[in-house]
Amino acid sequence: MIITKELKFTYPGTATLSFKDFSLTAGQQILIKGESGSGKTTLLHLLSGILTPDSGIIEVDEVRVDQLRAHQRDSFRANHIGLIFQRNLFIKSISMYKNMLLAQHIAQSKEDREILMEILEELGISNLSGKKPHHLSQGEQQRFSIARALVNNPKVVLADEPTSSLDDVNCHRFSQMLKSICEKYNITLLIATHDSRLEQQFNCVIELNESK
Amino acid sequence: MNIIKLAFAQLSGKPLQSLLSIALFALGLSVVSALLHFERQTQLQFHNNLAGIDLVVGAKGSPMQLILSSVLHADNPTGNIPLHEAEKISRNPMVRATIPIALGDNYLGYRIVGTSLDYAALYDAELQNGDWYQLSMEVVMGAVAAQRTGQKTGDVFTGVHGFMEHGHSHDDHPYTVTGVLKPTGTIIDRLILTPVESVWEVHEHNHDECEDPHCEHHHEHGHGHHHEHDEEKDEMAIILGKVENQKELSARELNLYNQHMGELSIATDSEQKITSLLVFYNTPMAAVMLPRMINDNTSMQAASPAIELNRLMGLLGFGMDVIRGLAWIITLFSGINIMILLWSSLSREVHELALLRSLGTSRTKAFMLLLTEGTMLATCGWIVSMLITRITGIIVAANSDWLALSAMQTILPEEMLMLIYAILVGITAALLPAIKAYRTDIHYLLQKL
Repeated sequence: MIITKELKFTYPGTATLSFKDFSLTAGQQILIKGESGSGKTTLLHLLSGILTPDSGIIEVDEVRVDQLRAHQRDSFRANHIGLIFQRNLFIKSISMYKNMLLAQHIAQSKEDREILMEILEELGISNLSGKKPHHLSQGEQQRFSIARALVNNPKVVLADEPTSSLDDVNCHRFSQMLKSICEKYNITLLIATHDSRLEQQFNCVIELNESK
Repeated sequence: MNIIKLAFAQLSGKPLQSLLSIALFALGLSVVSALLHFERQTQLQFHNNLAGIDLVVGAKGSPMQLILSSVLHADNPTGNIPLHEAEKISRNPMVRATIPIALGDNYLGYRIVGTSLDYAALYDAELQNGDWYQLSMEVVMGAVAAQRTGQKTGDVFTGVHGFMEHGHSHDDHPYTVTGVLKPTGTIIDRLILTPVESVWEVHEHNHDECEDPHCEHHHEHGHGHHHEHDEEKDEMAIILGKVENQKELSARELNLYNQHMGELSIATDSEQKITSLLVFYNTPMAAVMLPRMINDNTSMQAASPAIELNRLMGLLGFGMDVIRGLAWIITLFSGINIMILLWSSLSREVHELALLRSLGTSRTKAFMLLLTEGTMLATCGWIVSMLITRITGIIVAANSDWLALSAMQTILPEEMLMLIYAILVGITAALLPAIKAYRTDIHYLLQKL
């Protein structure tokens, strides 16, 4: 599902980051570990086409992401990749339901309310979907973040430090929820984190080191 | 949730700022639009009220005053002219038709105009009810005059001397209403028409020499004038010399002159005078010959309504240009206000932009989203300004006899141009924020969460 080879990326004015080659199969769930500055976010952004590598190969769902043009990468990301951020980001002016529909609209220019309702039911938040973001608790918002990552039937979900602001109980609940729903839809899950609480729940871990 | 819905949601998410931007923008556009309507209405009114009158002949004085007093009925007359002089003009072969105008009194501020029935025909006025006047002291009321004064066919009222609502009342000469006119949208709606003879009858005993409001003044100080009679004669010689050389006369001189000419005409012929004569040409040649002939060879002056009204519009035009300039400046600043609104909310909600981009919104779409927001604000501003001018129009029309309501209901071609201008302002204002949105580095933003 995901293959990378000799991936290199340079920020202007800093040393080059080079990443280990790895390949993941469909439905695999892995943890990317490393200290801050080790390039976790950079790797996720390279995989999702937010950044382009200096050199190397990125293949996601048999598409060479590194070779796509800017607008193709945007549309590829919308249709194949679900993103979960460290903080819960929503459009404040519209309801959660519309936030979900918006994600579908951006990806496909159409809205699929059936799938959306199914996912919201699955996560137990369908009764909250009429509310605006600031009326929900952090935990509830986080579930909507998961829902939004899934509304376009992605092959891959990338989560960047999703648990850093959660207490132990919520952290456990969140990761279980994410794991089980990705399992159900056979989605490849990558979580970039330095949160050691997640380690025992994932059997596959990639360690990122300081650049060589 | 397409881009338009999202833009709308983003704007209605901050209602106060959005409404302020719209209101400010609408304010500028409203002034521009109101001016357009005002100009159009005045020009239309002037054009309708001119009704093809080629020339107005009256007592010497300001030509514009003559036109204002005899055609638009908005000023005091310059004085009177002897009827027999006026009749000479009527008999001129270059003249197709003439209509006499004899002013003097008013009723509750509505002028009583001594004239022939041709005057009503000039404005295509038709009777709402009753009959045309036939005898002296019978009147036909214009539609507005009838409605505002509450006079109906068969009613009797007495006029007040001059053109102010209150003054010397001619209680011994009551007028009888024989008919009421249908509304025409012209000046005649505000007039009370009567035969010229009525005006003569009312004024023959008490102040027969003129209907100028200054007359009363002369009556009061008549004795004082008397023993200055010799001086007055000398002065008259000077005035006559001035008139000879076509120099300007002061108000006092003008009065003396008119009085003097009046005395002369009384001495030579009848006492009958009118205020002015509306003249219609038989031939285009008349436009060149007649005014000069009258101005050079008679004690009267001839003024062309078209020329004088153009002069008036020219004077008004400057004032309106200044207001218009101010309105464009308001619009410019409200455009800048829209830009600041979009820029500051983009800065505050830059994470939402990062979210949209990471969900797959392309740079171009993010750019378009901001442009849509700007255009939306500007277009709303335009719509609000149209509403404001229409509502203002209705209020003004309800409180004034001058403005016709129907004319406000269409959208002028210039207002469509204003819409295009508004959209251009909206786009220009949104351009900088849109470029900022286009250039936003989402990787950087997401990393700094």
